Amino acid sequence: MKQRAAVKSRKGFTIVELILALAITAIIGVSVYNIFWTAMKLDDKMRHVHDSYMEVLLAEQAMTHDLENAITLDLSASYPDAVIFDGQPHEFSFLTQTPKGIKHVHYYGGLLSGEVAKSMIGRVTNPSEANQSRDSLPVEFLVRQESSLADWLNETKDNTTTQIVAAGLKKESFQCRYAPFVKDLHLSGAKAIDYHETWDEKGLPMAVSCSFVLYDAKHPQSSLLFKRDIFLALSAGFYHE
Amino acid sequence: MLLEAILAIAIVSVSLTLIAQGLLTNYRTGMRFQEMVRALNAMDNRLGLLYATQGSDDLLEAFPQPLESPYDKFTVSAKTGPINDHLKNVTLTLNWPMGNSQGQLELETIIYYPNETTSSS
Repeated sequence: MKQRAAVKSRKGFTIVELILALAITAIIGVSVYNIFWTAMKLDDKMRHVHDSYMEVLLAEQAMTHDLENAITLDLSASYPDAVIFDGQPHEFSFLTQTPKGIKHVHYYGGLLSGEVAKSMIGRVTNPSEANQSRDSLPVEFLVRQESSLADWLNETKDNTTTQIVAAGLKKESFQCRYAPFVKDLHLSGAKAIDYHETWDEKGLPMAVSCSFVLYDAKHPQSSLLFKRDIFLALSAGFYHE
Repeated sequence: MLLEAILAIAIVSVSLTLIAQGLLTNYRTGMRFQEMVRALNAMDNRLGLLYATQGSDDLLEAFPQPLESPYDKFTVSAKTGPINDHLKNVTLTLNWPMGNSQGQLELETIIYYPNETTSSS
């Protein structure tokens, strides 16, 4: 009798309280875990996108800097076939003034080989896509090639430097258009600017418009288009005289 | 024992929630950064056009105008004030929707324009 009374007087939890407490704890735990996991995934995605956007920003700055310092030279006497500014729908090349002298610069969308290029492909694609053959990859790089004036004229590539300025572009999305100079543009207004698909005229265009789509490995069908209209300062200065 | 377990879970939950909040804030900042990159792009394009046209009147609307694709979610408005016969002060304001709030980028510059602009308009 004494033993039964001792058991009865000892305070504790009933099985219902225990189950209820465990259920509440489980619900809270699962909710917090879900929030945490979602936040982790969003943060991870954002880091990738952030890198791509930084690259886009830097690539556009590099292109703008090169194009704003573009120059024209009269090489017709010695090199009649030399095209000072060669503008194509997916690439363009021109002469630009740099602190290290006049350089020939070529911008194009494409893929490169090598370990660095491979790691960059791995960064901007899904793991399953990274092992595909280069032709079937959904991405391309924005590549900048620089060579000296002498190397370009002599068609040698020994000292050509190649740089990937942006890695995560959608395949074949890099497009360029070229606007010829419009006399008295300040009177005719912005609507007078007419972009052409190619530039094969002597001298420099007034503006180059570059556009590309940023590839999103998580949403391959999305198409976030960037467009940058770059006005060549020197050519504008020349023509306004 | 059970109380201790619940207390431990509560502490872990609060900690994880705080970390998650930090990550979500980072995500929101990232989204703002993306919008800002696109806004800078749109503003650079507009500025280039403004300099090339030497402050063409159709680019200096005071009422917000939508930009062309792919920046059509942005609107731009301009405030101008003459400095002298050849220079004018231009303030460009770019606005765009950003969730429940509104993003804004403002830039002030000086545009040179030849006298013909004023005489023709």
